[in-house]
Amino acid sequence: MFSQRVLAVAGVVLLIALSGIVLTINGQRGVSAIGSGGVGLSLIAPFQEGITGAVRNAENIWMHYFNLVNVANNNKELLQDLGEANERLHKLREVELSNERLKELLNFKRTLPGHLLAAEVIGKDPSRWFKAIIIDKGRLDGVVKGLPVVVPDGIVGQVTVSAARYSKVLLIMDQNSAVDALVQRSRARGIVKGALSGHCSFSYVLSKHDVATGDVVVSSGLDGVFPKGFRIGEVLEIVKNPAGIFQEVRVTPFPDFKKLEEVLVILNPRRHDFDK
Amino acid sequence: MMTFSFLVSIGVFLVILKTALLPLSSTAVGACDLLVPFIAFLGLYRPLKEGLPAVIFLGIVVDNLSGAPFGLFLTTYIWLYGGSRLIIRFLHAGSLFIFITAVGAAVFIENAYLAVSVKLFFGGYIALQVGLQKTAIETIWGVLLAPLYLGALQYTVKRWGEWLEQRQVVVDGTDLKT
Repeated sequence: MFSQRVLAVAGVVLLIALSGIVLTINGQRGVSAIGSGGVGLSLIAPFQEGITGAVRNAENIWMHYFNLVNVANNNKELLQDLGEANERLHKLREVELSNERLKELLNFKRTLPGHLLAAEVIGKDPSRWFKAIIIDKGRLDGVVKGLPVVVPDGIVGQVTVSAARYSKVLLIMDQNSAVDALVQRSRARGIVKGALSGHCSFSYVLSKHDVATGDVVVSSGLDGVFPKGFRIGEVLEIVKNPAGIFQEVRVTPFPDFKKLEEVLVILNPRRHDFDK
Repeated sequence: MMTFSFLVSIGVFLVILKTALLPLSSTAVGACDLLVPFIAFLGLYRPLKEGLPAVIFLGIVVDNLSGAPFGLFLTTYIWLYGGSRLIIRFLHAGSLFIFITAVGAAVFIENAYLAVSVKLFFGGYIALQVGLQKTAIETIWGVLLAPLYLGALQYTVKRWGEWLEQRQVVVDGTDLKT
């Protein structure tokens, strides 16, 4: 009855009309005219979800792996940086402490007459029975036998051996050491000698002389080695012998000999006048 | 001569350890003279021609570093070395117990010798309690260090001997024949 051509044209027109109607209705309502689309969604979405999830997981794993590698590398670098920073900090602390000590020495140096040479303590006595230190200055620096060695706290000792670049200093703590001294307050005289106990003994102080605990003992300058007025130590204990002419006095030296790191050598000590 | 240099190097290393490194540690500052166990080792385990020159050399070195009157450590070390040589005439030197005892005795004798010398010859003042305390602490240090010394020194000297033998073989050309 109708030719195929007519049927095809009619079908196309119908399809266009249906499309127009459906689109118009959907456009006006805002929802699907043919159900809610839930079936398709339910069918496809799980796969979509699965594939998307898998891709994202793969992506995450991949990214995390790279991240971990990066983090590990960063961590390594940070640890290295931290180590270097700690080392620098440690060095700076040492420099700071050294700076403080040297400042103290410099201030002390300014208060003293004569030429002073700063030296570093590089070794200590091999035996606990004797008290000597080795310093890093010797004859080439002008250090000779007999020169006094001091720190801001007080007298340290005397140079006993001088090599080209190093010297040995006998501490006032040593038993072979002796310093002519007097009590700053009462001017009582005596000899400060070393002892093993960690204190010095202030010997040959006449019993009639006034010495009290806490008195400061200073060098008298009469021994021809240590300039007058240098601090030696503080009176710790006094033993008076009623029958004897001398009293025994124990003195705690001011310098902390266990912590000596830098010292000053007095290169041209001002001797007592009668030396000349 | 090479063995002498080797033994002296060990001794100098011990002196440096005692004078420069140990004073930095508050615990180890009271350690005994580190050369004393070494001298006991030389006396007990090494021949006279190797040990005695090393002992004399090291004694002079320590005398130079110490505030003690020169010669005090030299004589002390020679006495200790002689004592150690005397022990092996009567006892088997290979025993660890003998070595520990010898080191303990040597440290004690060294301290006693130094104390008596300081008191008698140099007129120093020594408080008995302080002297005994120092001696006791150092003796304990010596006894504790002795096994460590023996192990380390025997191993080092053995390796040195092997190295010398190998060197001798190379110098003689013996290995070329094989």
